Amino acid sequence: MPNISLNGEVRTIPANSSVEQLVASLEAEAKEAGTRGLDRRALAVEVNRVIVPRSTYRAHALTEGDEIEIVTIVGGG
Amino acid sequence: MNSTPTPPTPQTVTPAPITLGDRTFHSRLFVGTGKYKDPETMVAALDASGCEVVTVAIRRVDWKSGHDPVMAHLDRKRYTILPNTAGCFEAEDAIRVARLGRELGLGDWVKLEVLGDKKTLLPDPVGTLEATKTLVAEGFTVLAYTSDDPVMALRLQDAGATSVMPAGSPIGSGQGINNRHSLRIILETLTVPVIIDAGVGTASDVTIAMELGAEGVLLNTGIAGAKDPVAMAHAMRHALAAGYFAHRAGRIEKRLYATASSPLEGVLGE
Repeated sequence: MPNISLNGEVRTIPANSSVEQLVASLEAEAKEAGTRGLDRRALAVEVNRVIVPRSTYRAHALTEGDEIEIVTIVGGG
Repeated sequence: MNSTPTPPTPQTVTPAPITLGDRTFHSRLFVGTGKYKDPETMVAALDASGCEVVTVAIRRVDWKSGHDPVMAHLDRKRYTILPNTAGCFEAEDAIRVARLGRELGLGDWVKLEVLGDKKTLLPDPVGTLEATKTLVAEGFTVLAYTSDDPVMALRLQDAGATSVMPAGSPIGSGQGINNRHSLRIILETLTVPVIIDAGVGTASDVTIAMELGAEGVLLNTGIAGAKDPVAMAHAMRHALAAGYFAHRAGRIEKRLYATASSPLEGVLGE
């Protein structure tokens, strides 16, 4: 199973995972943690420093060593 | 930048609108959304400030502990959301954050910060200039945070920044306007709108910035960190108007010695 970097932390994902599956697994973890949850409409995804548009989450396969950043909007000055 | 001073008419109670790029705003106060003790205070403070542009930051999502969804509290019809690149120390990172902001649906506007030092949070001029050029080429409307260096401000204008935003003093320091002389030179030299960004501690700092001739002021901590943020937001709004009108009214020259306000002739006992 491939290792990727997600927001700076190593994570092992199932083989042949897509960005869609990664986001879905984070949604599941957020639900399990019982917090505010994860609003995927408020996310932007970057793989290896290139933005992955929402419309291509399913088509974009993740591979060993991919560096993924998933960001959202927070308060700031 | 230097308009001929015209005194305000009694009917004039609010400063004229400000145009940045293709947008015009009725308020010249730009307010950050960070560091409020709760969303309700933020919403009330933004309302009291009268601002129409608010800044936000972009951060790695914390899916386990969650975030307060700042956007859920902001009325998109009322406020223009200006993402910043705060915390970026490399031009490349700031460029990535700007692109992520666009992907998040925040449009092509960005408050560009490329920082050079963690302790002072002073901008890195080389990185800021590099990022400005790239983002302008990519169609972004760049509002560039910079120091009070007049030459650097000019370079950012030449690079295509829509607004140049020199710091009054270090971010969040509350020191106010530290170098009026440099800011005056920037204001005299530049043709793009200059917005004083950072360092504002209290209302009089905003007035000073506007008296110097700034087109607007951007602040966050000065309101969010006040004991009563809503009251301070109200004060900042009026302080901005005071400085705006004072600048256009044309102040008297400073003199070393007194000049009597009442006639010197005909005083009893002469």
